[in-house]
Amino acid sequence: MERLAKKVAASPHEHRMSLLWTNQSALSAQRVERLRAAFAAQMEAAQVRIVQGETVPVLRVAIEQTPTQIVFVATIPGESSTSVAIEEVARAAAGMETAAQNSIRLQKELIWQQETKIFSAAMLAESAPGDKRLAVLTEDALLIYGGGPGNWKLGLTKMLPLPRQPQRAARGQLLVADDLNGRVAILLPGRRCEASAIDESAVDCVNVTTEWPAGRLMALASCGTQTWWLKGDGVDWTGEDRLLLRNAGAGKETATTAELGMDGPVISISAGEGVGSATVVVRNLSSGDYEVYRVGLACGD
Amino acid sequence: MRCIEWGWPAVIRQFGFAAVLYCLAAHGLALAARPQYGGVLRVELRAASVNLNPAKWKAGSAEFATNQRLAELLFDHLVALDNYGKFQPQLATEWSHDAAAKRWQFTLRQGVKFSDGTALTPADVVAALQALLPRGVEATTSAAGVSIQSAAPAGDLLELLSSGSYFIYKDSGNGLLRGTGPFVLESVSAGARETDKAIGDGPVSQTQQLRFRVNENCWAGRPYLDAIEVTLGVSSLKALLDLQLGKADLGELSLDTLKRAQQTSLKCWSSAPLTLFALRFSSDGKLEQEHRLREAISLSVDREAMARVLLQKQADAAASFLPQWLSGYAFLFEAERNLERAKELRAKTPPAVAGAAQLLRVTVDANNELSKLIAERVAVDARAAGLTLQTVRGNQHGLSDATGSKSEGEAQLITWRYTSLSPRSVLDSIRSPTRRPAGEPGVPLEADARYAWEKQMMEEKNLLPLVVVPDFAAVDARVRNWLPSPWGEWRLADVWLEQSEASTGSRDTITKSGVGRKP
Amino acid sequence: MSFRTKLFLLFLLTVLASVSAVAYSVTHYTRSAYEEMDNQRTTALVSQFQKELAQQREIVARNVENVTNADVTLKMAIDQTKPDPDQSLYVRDASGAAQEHGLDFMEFVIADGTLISSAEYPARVGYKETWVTSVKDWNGSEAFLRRVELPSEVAVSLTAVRTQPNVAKPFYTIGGRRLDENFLASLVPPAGLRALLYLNLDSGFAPGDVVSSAGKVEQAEKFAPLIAQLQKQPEPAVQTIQWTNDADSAETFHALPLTGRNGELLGALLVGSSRGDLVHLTRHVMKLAGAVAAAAMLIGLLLTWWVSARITKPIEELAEGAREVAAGHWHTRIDLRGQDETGQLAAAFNHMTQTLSAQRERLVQTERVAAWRELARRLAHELRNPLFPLQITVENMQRARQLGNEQFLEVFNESTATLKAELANLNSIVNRFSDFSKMPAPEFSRVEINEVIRGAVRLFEPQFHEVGKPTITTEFFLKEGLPEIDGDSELLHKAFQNLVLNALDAMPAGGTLTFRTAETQSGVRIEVSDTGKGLTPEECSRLFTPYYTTKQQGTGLGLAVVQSVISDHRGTISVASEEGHGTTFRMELPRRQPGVMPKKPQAAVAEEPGPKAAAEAAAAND
Repeated sequence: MERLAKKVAASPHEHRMSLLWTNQSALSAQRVERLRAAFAAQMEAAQVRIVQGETVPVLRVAIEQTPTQIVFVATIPGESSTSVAIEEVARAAAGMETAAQNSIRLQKELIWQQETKIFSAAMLAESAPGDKRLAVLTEDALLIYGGGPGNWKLGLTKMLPLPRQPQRAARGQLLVADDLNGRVAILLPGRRCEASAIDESAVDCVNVTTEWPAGRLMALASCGTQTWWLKGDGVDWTGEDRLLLRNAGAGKETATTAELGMDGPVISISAGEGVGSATVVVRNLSSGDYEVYRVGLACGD
Repeated sequence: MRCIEWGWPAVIRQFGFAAVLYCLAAHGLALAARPQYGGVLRVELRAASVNLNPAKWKAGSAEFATNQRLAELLFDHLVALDNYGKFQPQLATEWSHDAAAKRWQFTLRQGVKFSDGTALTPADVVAALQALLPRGVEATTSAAGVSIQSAAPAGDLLELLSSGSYFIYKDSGNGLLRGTGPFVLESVSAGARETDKAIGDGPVSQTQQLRFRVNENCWAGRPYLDAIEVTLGVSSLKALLDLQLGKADLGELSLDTLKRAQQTSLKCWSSAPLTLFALRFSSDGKLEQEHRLREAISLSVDREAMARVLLQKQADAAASFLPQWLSGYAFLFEAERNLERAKELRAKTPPAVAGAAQLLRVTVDANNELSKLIAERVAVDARAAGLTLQTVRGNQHGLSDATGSKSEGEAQLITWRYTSLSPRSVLDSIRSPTRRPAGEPGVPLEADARYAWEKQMMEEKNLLPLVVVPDFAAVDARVRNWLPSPWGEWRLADVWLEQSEASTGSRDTITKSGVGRKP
Repeated sequence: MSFRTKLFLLFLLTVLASVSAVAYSVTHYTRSAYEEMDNQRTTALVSQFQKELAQQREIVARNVENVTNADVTLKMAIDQTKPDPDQSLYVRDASGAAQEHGLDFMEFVIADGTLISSAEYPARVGYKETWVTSVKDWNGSEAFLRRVELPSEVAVSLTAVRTQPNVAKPFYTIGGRRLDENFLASLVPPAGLRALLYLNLDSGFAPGDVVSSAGKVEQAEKFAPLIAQLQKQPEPAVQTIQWTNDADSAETFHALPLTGRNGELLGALLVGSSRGDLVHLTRHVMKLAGAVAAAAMLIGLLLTWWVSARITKPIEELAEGAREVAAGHWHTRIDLRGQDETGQLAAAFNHMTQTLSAQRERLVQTERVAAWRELARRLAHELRNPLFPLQITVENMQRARQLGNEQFLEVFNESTATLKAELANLNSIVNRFSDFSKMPAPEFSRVEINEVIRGAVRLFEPQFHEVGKPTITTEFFLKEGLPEIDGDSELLHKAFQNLVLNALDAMPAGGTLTFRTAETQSGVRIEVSDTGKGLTPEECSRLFTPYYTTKQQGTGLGLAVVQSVISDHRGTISVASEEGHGTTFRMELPRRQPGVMPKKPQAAVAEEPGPKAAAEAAAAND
């Protein structure tokens, strides 16, 4: 913004202008607003008066997007002509934010996101009351975070044994079960591994024929004794999936009881904090980030 | 039918009507499909022939797209740009540059082999790139890998290397090129294809078929598909029919056939606007009266109506050489129609100038229906301003020729394909058709200066942009995980085929058999 | 022209007239019959075309109705009634609708006239078609011809328009079929007829706009006058066009104008009927007539030769006989036998010549006697004049003897002078008669007549202007460059002198003497005119008779001499006169004959005589 402000200030311009700020890029509204404020401040520092509510010439700044850049295009009204200032920022450096989605009966809460690929994530048993643990399975490691949403701290990192052959679309699934005694099972293509979520011991893997779970059973006592089957409805990783909640006892053809739209394909569904929640990994198609949601059942509106 | 739009919501905002569209059929509540190995993807393309040697490709030509899409199967870039604006490592795992961005260093990925089993070396990379790099940019081997030096700041080098013809290949001799890509060209055959007379394609035409088999040892992992069969020279109508009949899995569409495809169960895709339609004048337009006439023509054309109505919102009005998605500032160029001003300019033009009172002939590629439609629309719009234009049929090769070969008329309706992610490179390539002397300094890198440069080029009025049109394609429902880039890369290597019979979707005609191949 | 020739020509004319009349009648009736048959066939073909056109109108209207009533169209129309409708959705629908319903043209237009879809000119989508909104409800209307603008050409279409009935705002469906050579293919013209179509697409005439079901029409520029006539007034017209120099290439075209909704000329059906058959037939008839005429001529020639041989030969013998008689052979006889009219004519001719011979002899004798009597009378008259003074003088001398010597001598001298004068007069009279009786034969040489006339008149110049006597004015209208004649200049000189003298005698009170020469076909004409007292017709008839005179004194030989001279020169002389106004003598002399060597004149041109010689000549001619 500083560079753009300098360019605007250096161009022939009216001394008093109003600012019209438009966004055609993938930047979130909050980020756009922050940028606008920063720009206005820079303009003030350059002694260009930005006013509101008056009939004055308009300084228009449009935020546009190309495959690699975020482009800021300023149209500067001068006394006799209009000039243009353009500033580009690489998209990789601009950062993206997205707004939270609305919740429905299935509720979701973003608890973790990162740019690099997440195969699966699961909530582990709390190491101490209030100290949640989040296991995140990436391409090459199992990461154990402690803390809570917005405050996760990396605890353990366990590298996974590399596969014999690079996988074009590798995947993985975390399984958390009580009978694992604090260990976490990791399903990989052609392998099943186990790793301790507590100590630094290595990950043990055996070759198996992997059977991938298609969803997760959930229940909410406050909503009755029914069990629900939570699964995604996507067919591949190119569309925005929906999480569908069905009555698990009623068979495959049962209609959906609840559904929750996600911002991209559902990568995995794993254990959450108790039977009433699941940990869902979704790849946000807008930002490209991998997001980990806590999806819980909510009873009522 | 549920229509799902691929890509960011912002992408849709940016591209407007030409947003990347990806309409899914309602498949019901099928199980979440996961990659399945096996099968042969059948692709039908319009181009009658293909050249798989990147060094021979002509920037801006319509054939570039087909060449590039098929070359993707065989070769890799040093880096690739994902759909989120991030450069991903390909054959290069790391890169850096100096403060001036004149000296770049690329670290090559280890263990990469060509399809003949030979290892990829920095020398191979240099040999491939040197033939493609622009003047003033040189590639050399270095300890870590490859070093690229540029006389001028090359801040857009990654954009350049990740797009266009900058593939890494090795010439094995006898014109055979080896690549490190996910597929290997297995065979090329010429086939005679009985065309369907009901759709008026005429007699039997010669088609070319290419078969790409999987590269089991691809550094990025074995693709899911066993093979890709590409048939060239298939009209979009025929491709649509084949898709509906289950004879093809992926086919190129035209604007005409897109609408029909959208009414079927096929998934449709359209890219960012990738092809510019423009009016190019034969003479250099240095005379004031010629310049005035061209401005009159430009003002008389209603680009918005052309894009919105005539091209059914599948195109964007173009008032600049670079589209909005590539430059970010195309909206600064005025595309509004001003009929009154056009009439004024025409009145001031002597009758002897072609177009004022005499006929100005616009040569059009006789094989391109869209070009004819756009040229006719330009003639109709110009007539409202008292300008007389007439379309004449011409041959194909002269129109997308960057050097401006001879044509019959005083102007030509040309197409220009955007084949690079570097706006500077695109403008530099367009420069040739607009007859700017080669000795002049190149296009500036900085956006401000580039905008001014482009504005100056527009003022010369040797080339009048009209509309930009996306690519269209349709894909069968059994094709999964197809994520093409907005700028036209098809990325077929990540595709897999749904092998079950039930998921073939609804068919309007006979039951197909033998679709795909089990692994 | 001989009788034989006349007879032949008469026969020929009769035959030709008959043959011509027959040939003309045959040709005329054949042509009439042909024309009638041609009209019938043309009318049938035109009727067929009109039926076909009417049928096509129905088909087009029906197809357009089907398109209008289709669900797709209804949906389109409903969508367009919504606020801010998306007009781009249907840009390509017209093309499919046209194909589906077998139409060449299809357009959809919304209430404000905006074209939202066009099969034939998609580039015009978004522009207005204002003509269609001028009518609110097109349903039930007939299909009509319309000019359709296409990207690279203009066409004529049989168009129907329908309005979608189930929507609030008008929605128009315009569909049509192209009117071109394919339309003609549906017509089946009889042999000798063909149908062409003219599409009036430009303001002028373009030969390429004339089409036939077989393709291009050769020499289409020859239709320009017919088309110009149609463009001026779109009414049926007819024109015959000859394609080559050969008449049998002619073709008669009936043009039926095809008009649009507003009566504008959009095209024309041209039904051509070859006139080759008629021409061939006419030629055949004419050839036949010619052959008959030639045969008739030959027959006529033979017939006339034979007939004339029988008729004209006797007539020719008669004519020859008459010529002999005219030449002076009064005893000519025709030897023709037979009891028919020619025999009778020959007998009558012989009788006539015999009678004429006898009468001529009697006449000659009578004239001889009359001439002798006349001569005697004249002699007596001439001689009496000088004799009387002789007698008186002798008597005076006898009486003077009785007087004294001096008186006798005076009377003697006076009397002897008188005696001598009268004796000279007697001598002159005798000489004049002698001269006339022995007029010399002319000696011919080349003579320039104008010079002879001038020379003759010059002699009398003093007399014309003699003091105390009335003036004689001479006028000369002598044409220069007259052809030379063979003549005796002396005799001619003398003849002209006689004429001058005669004229002078006729103008005692003066007057004008005019000389004219001119060239005639055969030679030279000379006219001598005076303004004297003129002659009566009886006098004119006897003027050239020797010794005939109208004067008190004179021998009456002057004009006879003139006549003799002219006659010797193989010429003719005539007189024209009117009492009180003058007399004109007209002579015609033949031109010099080529090959005749002219004789060298024996004497030079006459010297200019003196007054005495002229007086003597005048006295000699009294």
